[in-house]
Amino acid sequence: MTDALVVHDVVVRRGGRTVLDGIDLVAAPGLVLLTGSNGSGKSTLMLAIAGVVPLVRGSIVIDGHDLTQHGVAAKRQLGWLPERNDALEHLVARQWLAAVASLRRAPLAPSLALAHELLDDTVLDRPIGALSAGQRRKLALVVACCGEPRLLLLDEPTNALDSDGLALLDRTIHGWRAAGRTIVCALHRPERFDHTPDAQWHVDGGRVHATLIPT
Amino acid sequence: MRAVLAPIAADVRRRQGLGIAAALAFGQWMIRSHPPWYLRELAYLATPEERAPWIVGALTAVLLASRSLARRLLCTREVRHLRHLPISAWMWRWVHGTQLLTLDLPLHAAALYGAWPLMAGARTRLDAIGWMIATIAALFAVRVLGCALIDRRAIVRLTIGTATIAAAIMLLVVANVWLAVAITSMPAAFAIERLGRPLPELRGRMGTPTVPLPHPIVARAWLQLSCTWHRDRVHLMLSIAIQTSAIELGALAAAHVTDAPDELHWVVLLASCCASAMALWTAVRSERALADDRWLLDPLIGARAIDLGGRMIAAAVLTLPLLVVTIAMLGRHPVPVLAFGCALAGVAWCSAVAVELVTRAEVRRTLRQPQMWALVLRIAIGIAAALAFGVPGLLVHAMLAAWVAARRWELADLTRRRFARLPGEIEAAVS
Repeated sequence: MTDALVVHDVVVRRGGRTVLDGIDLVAAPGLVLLTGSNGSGKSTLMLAIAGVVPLVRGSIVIDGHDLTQHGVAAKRQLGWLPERNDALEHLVARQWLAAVASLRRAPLAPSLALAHELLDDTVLDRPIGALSAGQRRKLALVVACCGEPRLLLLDEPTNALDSDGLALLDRTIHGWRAAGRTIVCALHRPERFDHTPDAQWHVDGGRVHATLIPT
Repeated sequence: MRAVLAPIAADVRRRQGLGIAAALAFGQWMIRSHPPWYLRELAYLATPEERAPWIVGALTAVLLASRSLARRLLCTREVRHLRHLPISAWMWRWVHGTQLLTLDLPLHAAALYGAWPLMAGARTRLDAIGWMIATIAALFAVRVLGCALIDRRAIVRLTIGTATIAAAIMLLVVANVWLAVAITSMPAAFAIERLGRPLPELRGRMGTPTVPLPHPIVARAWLQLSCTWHRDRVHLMLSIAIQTSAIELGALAAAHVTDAPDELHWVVLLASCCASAMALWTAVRSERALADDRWLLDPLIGARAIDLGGRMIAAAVLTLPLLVVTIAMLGRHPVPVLAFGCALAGVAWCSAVAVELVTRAEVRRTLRQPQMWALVLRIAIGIAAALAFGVPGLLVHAMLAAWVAARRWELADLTRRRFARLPGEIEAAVS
């Protein structure tokens, strides 16, 4: 079985500054905790893996597919919960969910069912810009899980979530780990996180130090 | 494609709708007041030299005015967010290509209509189509590369922008349609390739000095001019009066002294010297008016490029009467474009020297050294350059002065921040 994520010699520059400098990483199935101080480059690493920031050098392979060469196949196996809501605000929540499901070639029904657990039906028919921060966060979590991708990127997943949202997050992490999928979770304060990770990546000075945590 | 194209278009409509509506309303008024056939007749009647500045100016204005719209289409946070979805690179190229084609449709139509090249109109239908293809390729490349370079340093962007404008003008002047198509297709191919990858973020965190957008520069200049008006009004009025008198003198001399060219020359020179000295001195004093507020200015306007740009604009405004003087002096020249160019050269020189003087004065003030002689020396050098080499001499001196100002600015910054504590160190750095 191929690794869910292989990052090789990745260099990313943002605003004329090298934020990530020659990163090499391999993510096995399980939970990977991504830590680092503010501005160290955690979110930039997430953005690079999600294919949202251009790479200066290097390659990222998701589920055996190179992100640059075979972007569509690679991104079908990628779910991403960004730190802040960046979806187009005028889109209706249900419309956005349907569009993502269609692009990932995944059935819409499971995602809608999950969304109904967390959000009222009326909320799903409102534009994203009209939702509260917590509702947007829940919607983004449902969108990230849509199609059950093999790699799930969660950037500060506990932000703005209420108890229902946190319960879904816990369930998702347990379920994903049990199914042999990979979750990369970026956190500012890992001590407040209930789950024991399988590995930890610490970002510092543009480099990542990977540590395997024995279970 | 609709799933991606429609949401982005709707987002642009929502955020820039007011601007688009205003542009359409204004366009409609323009068409009514200046119908296309009237403009066409004007264009046919005008000589290529008369037409060229208007076309280049209009092209630049349209590109600048629609820049934010293009950025909204290509590289805002929300559009970049869509890049994490499984959408192929070719789909992105197609989507953005369609959007840019629509955005620049009026310019493409103008090219097909035969608005350019500048020096000879498109004679055949094939030529017109060729110019349209070249225009599509060039605008596509300019839009995409403009966004791709968005997080580069200002100097890189400025250099590439200037080179692009120069190349475009050269192509329009050379007027070989197939050469234009061949040359513009190269950056267009690169732009098409670049669209397959995500573009840099619009408001990225800047590790290097931030991109000097025009607004803070203008705000800085406005602050300086406002301080000058409130704190040094008497001198400002005197300066305007002296420069205006010089205008009158130059204009009177140009109008009445026709049979003694040598005398006219000396009168004009005297008027020019008076206006230049007064304009320069005013620019220097205006900086002093702002000196007490550095504690407020420094945290607000951290980037040096912004501070220097603001100074340049303020100096240009304060030396504006000089522009009028120069136009009055050279207005009798048979080629008005040349007269205007000379006037601009004069203002460029005066602004650059004023900023250089201000920067030098700042260094010297913190070192408590006299500055009057430096001012006199600079003005004398400028006048000597103008006398010896004419307008090219002024331009060369202006460039040198701007370069010296930029180099000296770092030292000025250093002295301003640290002189009170470390005088010996600064003196050592200066020496």
